Amino acid sequence: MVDKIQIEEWVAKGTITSEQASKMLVDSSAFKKDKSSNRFISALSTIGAILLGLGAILFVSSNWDVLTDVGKTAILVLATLGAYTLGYFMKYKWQNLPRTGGALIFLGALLFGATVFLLAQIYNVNAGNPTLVLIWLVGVLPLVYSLASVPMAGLSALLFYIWIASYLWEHGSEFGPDLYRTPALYLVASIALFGFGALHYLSPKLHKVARAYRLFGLRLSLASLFVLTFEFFSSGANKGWFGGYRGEAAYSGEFTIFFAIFAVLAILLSVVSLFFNPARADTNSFESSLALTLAALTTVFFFFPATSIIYSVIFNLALAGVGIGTIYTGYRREDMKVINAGAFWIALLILARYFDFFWDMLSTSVFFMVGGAILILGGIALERKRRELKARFNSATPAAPTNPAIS
Amino acid sequence: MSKKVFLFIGLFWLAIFAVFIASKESVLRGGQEVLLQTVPVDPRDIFRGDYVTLRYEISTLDQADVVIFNRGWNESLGVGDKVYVNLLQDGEYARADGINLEQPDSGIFIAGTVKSMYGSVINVDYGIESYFVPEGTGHDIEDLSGELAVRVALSSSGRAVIKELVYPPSLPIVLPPKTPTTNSGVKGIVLLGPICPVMREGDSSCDDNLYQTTIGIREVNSRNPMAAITNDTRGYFEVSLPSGVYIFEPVPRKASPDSPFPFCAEQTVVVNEGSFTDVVLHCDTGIR
Repeated sequence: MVDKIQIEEWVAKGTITSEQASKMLVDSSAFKKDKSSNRFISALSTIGAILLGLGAILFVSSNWDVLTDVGKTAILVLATLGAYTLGYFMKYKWQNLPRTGGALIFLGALLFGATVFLLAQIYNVNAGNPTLVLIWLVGVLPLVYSLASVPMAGLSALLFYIWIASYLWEHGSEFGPDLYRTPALYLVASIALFGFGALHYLSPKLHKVARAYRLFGLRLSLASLFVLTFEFFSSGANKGWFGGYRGEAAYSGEFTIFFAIFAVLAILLSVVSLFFNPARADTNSFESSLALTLAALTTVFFFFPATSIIYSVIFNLALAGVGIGTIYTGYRREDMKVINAGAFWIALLILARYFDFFWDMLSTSVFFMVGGAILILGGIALERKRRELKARFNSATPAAPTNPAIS
Repeated sequence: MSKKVFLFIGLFWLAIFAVFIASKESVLRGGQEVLLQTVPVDPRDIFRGDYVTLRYEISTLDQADVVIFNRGWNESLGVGDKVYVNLLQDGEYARADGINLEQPDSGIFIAGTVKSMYGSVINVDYGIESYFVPEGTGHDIEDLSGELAVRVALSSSGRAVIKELVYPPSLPIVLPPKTPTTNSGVKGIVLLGPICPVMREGDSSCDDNLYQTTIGIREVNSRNPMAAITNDTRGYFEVSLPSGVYIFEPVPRKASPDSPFPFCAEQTVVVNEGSFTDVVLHCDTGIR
């Protein structure tokens, strides 16, 4: 949608008349208001669906013994299919309440998971069984591709991460000290999700799904990388801090296989993205190279651990580099979400290292005063820069962002 | 979303539910039933949220004590290996009678996965280690640990599904209602004594001790117990029951099954409408 500055420019150049400009400004304002109102309705309905879904999951977990197992199953199955069907009719058949309909379909997906867990509870399937989350994910995926909605893509990405966590939990006793390599596993899994998201740009219908997966992957990659900047995770495991663990690559074969699968996927998908550029984006080479380098670095870290602090140093530099790279990409794409993601983790990295380096060197009072001053000044700088960029993007954008890639 | 896709997803979900239910029900209805004895579990692990963690006698197996079949001369068991544990009926319970590395052609066996190893001892998970309970009732079962048994159904491939928790073996567990459904019932304590061989007048150290144990409850004209409750650590219990005549029988915790002591006498209790009857149940230590 055109903005005021552009319209004024067109009037000044004589491209449009003042009357046309006034009409365009009114239309533009009405469109923005309508868009904002629709977003609000979608957000409200989705939050409602999440609350109802959480209520259903809590209903299952309370294992209410007043109702029989058949009764509870019937209620949840009917509620699942009921929410899903009603949502479909509202959104597609009657088309009277499309946003509420979308939220009801989302509720159906949540209730589907609650029903799977109810059945698992009735048949006493072992707690923490990762297969249950996988079944939920399999049930949600057809909706991701048929609806191409952001909440559904977000739910599937969340289930993917929960599945990894529950798999690690289930095999905790077998994995032993390897569990301290979990951040590395999450990092390669997130890079794989980032690359997997890019493939969705091949279908114009799935651009929203692509963006949701890539943003999810990017944020989790940065978070995992941040955890790895701590010596505790990057070299502590190899120093025998966690009992009987030496400077060896891996303890459990199954954990190694699990990691290797995601590492290979992360590298393959990054290579595919690098050479085929499914997003048709200017920054694709930069983004894909960064993802590929990070995946390769994490793989080397996993298979060739060191007892020195070398990896801790490397991961600190990597996070600083990836954070700056993310800000750069966001700047190029004029995407505040990407810039925010990079800025947040860079700020957190600075804060964490400030604590590491100066805690022992400075007296407590000076430490907190200097830290507080850094935070306030950093906050001012970030806010100003953010506002400046936002204003610049808004004024420079001739139409709604169409650039894909992470944006 | 087209109508076809809408119908496909709905049917896909129903198919997932149906396969889930069918896979479990086929074992429960057509599977071989065995009774497995549980063993005391570290109390830190037994109660986690709304389920209790169950460990079985057959969960921990010493390779020195059981025969391992189909094992190559240089082959050793490892964490993550799938095993089939042969079961032998020993009285009411099924006990481990060898480990198979391949699925046996006949006999009763249960499939599991080696979860951890300590020397020659292996810990095996059978997928029946969680028992889900109504919210807030986990402690009732936790208190019965070590005296519980679990009836499981086994498929022809050794897959196990929990059928019910039993205590003692012939008595299905009936948890007392969390909130009283009637305004009548029984409250009281269980005492264990004598404590000293010689009782001296005024010596309170030899008073009977409060005793925590499980109490079976049945109606006076019935041979089948209707509930099993556990008194709290102070020996106190309270149970809501409709008016009637009941038999209360504490089940003592014995050092060995053959030991005659402690011995707990059953007691007839009359419950009147609108009131709780006070009772004191006694168990005998055998000390004279």
